[in-house]
Amino acid sequence: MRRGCALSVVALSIVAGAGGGCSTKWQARFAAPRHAAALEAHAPFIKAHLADGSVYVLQRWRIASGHLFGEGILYDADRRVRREGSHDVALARVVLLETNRPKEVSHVGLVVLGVVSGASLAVTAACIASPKSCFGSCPTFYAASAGGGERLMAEGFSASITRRLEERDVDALVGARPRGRAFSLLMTNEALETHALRRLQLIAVERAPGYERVLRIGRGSGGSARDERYLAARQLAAPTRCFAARGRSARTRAPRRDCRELVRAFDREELVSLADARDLARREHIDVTFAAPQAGDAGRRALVIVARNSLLNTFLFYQAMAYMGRRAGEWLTKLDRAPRAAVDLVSQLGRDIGPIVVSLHDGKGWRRVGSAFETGPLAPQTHVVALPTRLPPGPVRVRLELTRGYWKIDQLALAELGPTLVPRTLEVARVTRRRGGRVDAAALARLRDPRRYLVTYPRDAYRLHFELPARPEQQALFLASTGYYVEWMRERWLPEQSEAKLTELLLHSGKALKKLAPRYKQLEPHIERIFWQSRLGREGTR
Amino acid sequence: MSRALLAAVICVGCAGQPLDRAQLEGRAVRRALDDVPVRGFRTFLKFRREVDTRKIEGELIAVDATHIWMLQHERLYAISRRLVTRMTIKAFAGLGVLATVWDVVGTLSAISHGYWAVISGPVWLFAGIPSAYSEAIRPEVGVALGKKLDRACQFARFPMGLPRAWLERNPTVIGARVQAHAMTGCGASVTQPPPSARRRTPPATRPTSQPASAPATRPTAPDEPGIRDDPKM
Repeated sequence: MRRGCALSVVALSIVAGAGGGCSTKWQARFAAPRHAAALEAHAPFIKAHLADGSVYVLQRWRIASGHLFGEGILYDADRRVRREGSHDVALARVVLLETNRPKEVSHVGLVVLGVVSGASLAVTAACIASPKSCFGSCPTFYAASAGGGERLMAEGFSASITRRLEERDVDALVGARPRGRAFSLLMTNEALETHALRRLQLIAVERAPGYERVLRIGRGSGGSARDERYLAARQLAAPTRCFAARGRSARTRAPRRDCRELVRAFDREELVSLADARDLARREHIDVTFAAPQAGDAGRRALVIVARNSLLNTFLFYQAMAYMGRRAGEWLTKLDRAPRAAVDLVSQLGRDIGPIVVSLHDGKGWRRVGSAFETGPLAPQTHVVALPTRLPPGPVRVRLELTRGYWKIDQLALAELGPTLVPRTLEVARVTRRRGGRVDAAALARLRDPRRYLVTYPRDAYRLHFELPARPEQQALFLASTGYYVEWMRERWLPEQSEAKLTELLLHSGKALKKLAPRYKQLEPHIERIFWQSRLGREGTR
Repeated sequence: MSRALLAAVICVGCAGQPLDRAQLEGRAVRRALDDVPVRGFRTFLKFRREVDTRKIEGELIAVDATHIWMLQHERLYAISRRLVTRMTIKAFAGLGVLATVWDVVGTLSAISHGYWAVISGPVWLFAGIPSAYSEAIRPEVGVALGKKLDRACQFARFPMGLPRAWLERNPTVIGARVQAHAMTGCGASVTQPPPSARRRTPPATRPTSQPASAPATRPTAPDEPGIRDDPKM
């Protein structure tokens, strides 16, 4: 950021120079020699034009006794210099006198452009100076939303940074509103990454009568279809009390210890906190209270958390890439062949600081009831933590324990769970290219063959078409994507190559997270803005 | 009405320079002696439809009662005033090209702002287009045709009129059958003393210089730039 400011200053200085002194306009007054007395005596320069076309250009000049005296240059008619020095010119030889005054031309237009450039450069330079805050996405999926227009709904397999870590990731398309049986998703690659997509399926679950939501219970990523269940849900109740000691509004950055309003609904008003300045692993907790369930409600309760990651884990991932430096390819290839224990070690850092641990107050103390964890800073994910069947009497008190500055929480709700529902898995029916709309049969064939990958590069965009079951408006939609991605190395990261630091980050993460805290804190105020500005191919959307 | 208002807003600062060089205003600055211009100003002429060539650009050498004398690529042109539909003089070095390139590059660079390009792109356009237009237009002196064209001599290399000796050394006069005529020049048209001085002295009725009469000309060759003189001359 500091470099950005410096660039702006340099740009503005150039502009000031250009605007200040590049051009001169020459004010001139003419007089015949016999009217010489009418000339302004204080003009810095005088020209005496002779009949043959030659001209004297003089400074420190005076007219006396029918002569013009001064120091200067005599030019001939072709404007070659003939003589320099003191001159005494008889006015009788002169046909025309001309005084000249240089005047400054102010280039107001360039000054305006300079100011715009300064601001513009600051934005661009911030991104260049801090590439670790720039956009990293994994495949991003957009769908038509209730509010009109296409909205970012999901991101696929964010934690699968190498083939070995390939996994199935399921995301609820909460805001998607199908308007008929034809439904499409826009899949984009908006970062300097290579995406390898093995499988993409839409899961449609018809809502049960009397239940407005469908919740998925199972691992957000890394699980299999056998481990997950889809349950009807209703009466999503907002908290009656929410207290976060370090809570802030993600939008305004203003402190909000009473966080009720921020987590009341899925409305993109998010609750965040700032990372600790000395230890990025430091935890905090948020206490939430829900009204006691009514006596007649027999269903089991679950805590619904709609949240996404802050950019803290993106920063840590990019930092690890920087430490790998020129050997990143070698490291990642080794990882593909490494034993499972080594692979677990790599993803351990995320598991250490990532999860939100949920505890329930049973009247005597806090008792852990579950956790929520998924990687991804772009689209909010819905996590469901089922609470015990028998809740303590009175209001339901829940505590969320999480790493400071790691999460952005959009909604916290207590839902009543209903019957288990049967999901229908839908394959992609057709693939078209976003640009030109041409049908891409090859991409479709790859997406439908689990042995092959559809590989995409920065700015690639495909529209994936599905055919929904009957009563499409009653379908709750989920997206299951399987694959992995490879982050591209940035040249600016290379100077940080250090195997020792990489080892420390992976094996002694506690120590490394303390060392990296000051660097992250320096970036934290701007990282969000820079991140969103650096996306490729979808500039202007969010 | 609203269009006029929009044009006025966009064109703030776009006004050109006055024809009278005494009225060129600005903050006084110091310049070296050898910076003082001794050549004519860069000038553009546009011609009537019947002329093969549509325009010419060069150094303004002189203006007289019937012709505008221009030097282009070391070749002297005498152009009948009757053929000219528009005359524009660059009173100083403008930075219109720089501003235009700057604006285009700046607008394209807004792509790097991602989400914020929605704001920064239009800001570049709204600030850049008037700025570039202003930089291109401001140095220009638009010369009205007719009698006022005489006053353009203030921007000529020879404001007093074309010296005969120089013309004889530069005989490549194209596109003009120059007649014997009175050389007006700034000696007659602009050398007016201030009112106080004018009261004391008789007005100048004749130029101080001698007219250049019937200089040597050669007929227009077929491969010349296509400037043809008024056939009635």
